[in-house]
Amino acid sequence: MAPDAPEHQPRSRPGADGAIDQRPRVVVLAERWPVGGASWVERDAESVVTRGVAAALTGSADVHVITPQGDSRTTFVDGAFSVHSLGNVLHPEVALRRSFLMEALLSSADSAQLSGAVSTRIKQWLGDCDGLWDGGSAVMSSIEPDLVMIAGHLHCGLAAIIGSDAPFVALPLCAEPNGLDLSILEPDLAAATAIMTTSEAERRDVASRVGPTGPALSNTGLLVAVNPTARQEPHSELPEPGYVLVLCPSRADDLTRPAELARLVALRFPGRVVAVVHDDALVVWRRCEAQRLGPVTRHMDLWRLMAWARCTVDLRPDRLVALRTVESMLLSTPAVVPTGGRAQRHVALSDGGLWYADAAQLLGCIESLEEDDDIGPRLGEQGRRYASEAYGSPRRFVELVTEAAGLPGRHLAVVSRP
Amino acid sequence: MGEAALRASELVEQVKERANRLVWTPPVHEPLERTLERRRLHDHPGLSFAHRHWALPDHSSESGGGPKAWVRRVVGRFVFYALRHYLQAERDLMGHLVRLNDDLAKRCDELTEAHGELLDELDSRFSGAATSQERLATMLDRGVPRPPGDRGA
Repeated sequence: MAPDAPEHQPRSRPGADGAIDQRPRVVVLAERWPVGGASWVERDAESVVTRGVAAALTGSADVHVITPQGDSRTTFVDGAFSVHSLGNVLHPEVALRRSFLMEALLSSADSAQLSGAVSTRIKQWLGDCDGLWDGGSAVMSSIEPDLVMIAGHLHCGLAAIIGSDAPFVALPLCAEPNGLDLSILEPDLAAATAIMTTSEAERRDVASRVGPTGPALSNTGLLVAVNPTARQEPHSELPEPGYVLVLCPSRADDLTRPAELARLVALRFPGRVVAVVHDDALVVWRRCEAQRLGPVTRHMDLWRLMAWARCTVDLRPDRLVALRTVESMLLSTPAVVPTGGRAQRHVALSDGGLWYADAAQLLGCIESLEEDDDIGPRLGEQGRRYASEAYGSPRRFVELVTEAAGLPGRHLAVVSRP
Repeated sequence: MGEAALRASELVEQVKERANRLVWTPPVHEPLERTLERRRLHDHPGLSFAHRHWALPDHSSESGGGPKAWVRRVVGRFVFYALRHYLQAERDLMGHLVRLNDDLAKRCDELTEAHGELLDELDSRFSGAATSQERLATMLDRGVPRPPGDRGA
């Protein structure tokens, strides 16, 4: 168990037929809850992490999710979860205002130490989302949770659902270096009984914010699943192995910097097939000529593209976990990533790929892998070892999460009253 | 004994050194080699000759007086009469062969022309790609956005 992490003892409560339910009840408060979706593009890292951590708790507890999203107030079963949708949709204008505000604050180094007064003012600006959690306290009362987990740290109006002195476990989903964004909104991490992070880099960033005397802080890692059969059969449109795969988070016709970098790679290596995964198309470059194919929506197709590539260039990894980078490493394909983010920390920690600071270095990284056929497989294998250990073991992940949450390791599902 | 670990940081240092020396000049593109004969096959002298001489004689053209000439005429008529079916078939065959050659020459000329155009297009595309690459690279390296309305190459 993580040092100082409290163990949550489940309260016995009568079940529907007089039985005593001894499984603890966990409530996860999440602003967004992913309920499926065919495309991997739609699954952002925050949602994947929230669902993954909640799933790890289902072995030891009944997990209830309370989320403001949804069109109406309803409860439904989503796999192992009971999801209580409050139907309080965040108005798009408020969401946009919040995004602008966050970007503005984060773009200034001085915002790292926001005073309480400034935070209050910011909360006033965001006052429209006070009603976001309306109805949640009634749901909370009906569940009587043994443990509350708050996913994310950019909440507002949480006071409507959880008391200011109520214990909770935080899953802060901190994406900024040095925890720059952690002091702006809710919850106050210093008040948490335990904090969970999903990478060592995130743990360090959060630790730099909460300090050594803060709550128990644990890195649980994450379970990032890839289908190993992706190595058995190539993508139908790219039967030849050894191409350069570029993950470009923009539309094929856009003139964004990532799209321009992808074009530069394709033009620089006319003798090599370059496959660029855009949001709306897979563009395959052969001899400076682009062939536009349908978008890559199935996760299996993306994994196949990764598994058969010489390297995966992740032009803009997600800031929280760098999921695509980890997936590429799990498939033994070296990753080439921009410097200064979580993706680079994965790659540097594992020696599972290379990183670049500008266009020239990006081309240099690919050239290095081109020139020596030995380098790519060796980096790929080193990356696979790291990713398998940190992100490929379900048992380890579940143990770490339950331990960090302070849940007892073993429970009887339902015990009859004697 | 396991293989020594490959240090990514060392490789990145090498990449940085090389990148610092990199000069964004367009890659030099030599025009693609034109190995095919560019002369039109339709103008080949052999084809003109075939056009002029494909129709072989189908009757005796012996003229003159005297018993020898009379004998040659009679024999000639006899021979041409006896071989008339064969000669007609051969005439048809020759006609078809000449027409076929004519079409082949025309098709050859068209393919040669298309190949030449393709080579020209490839030359132009590679040159354009080289220029684009330099422009893109310089722009990305300096962090300068495209000017408004510039959709790139």
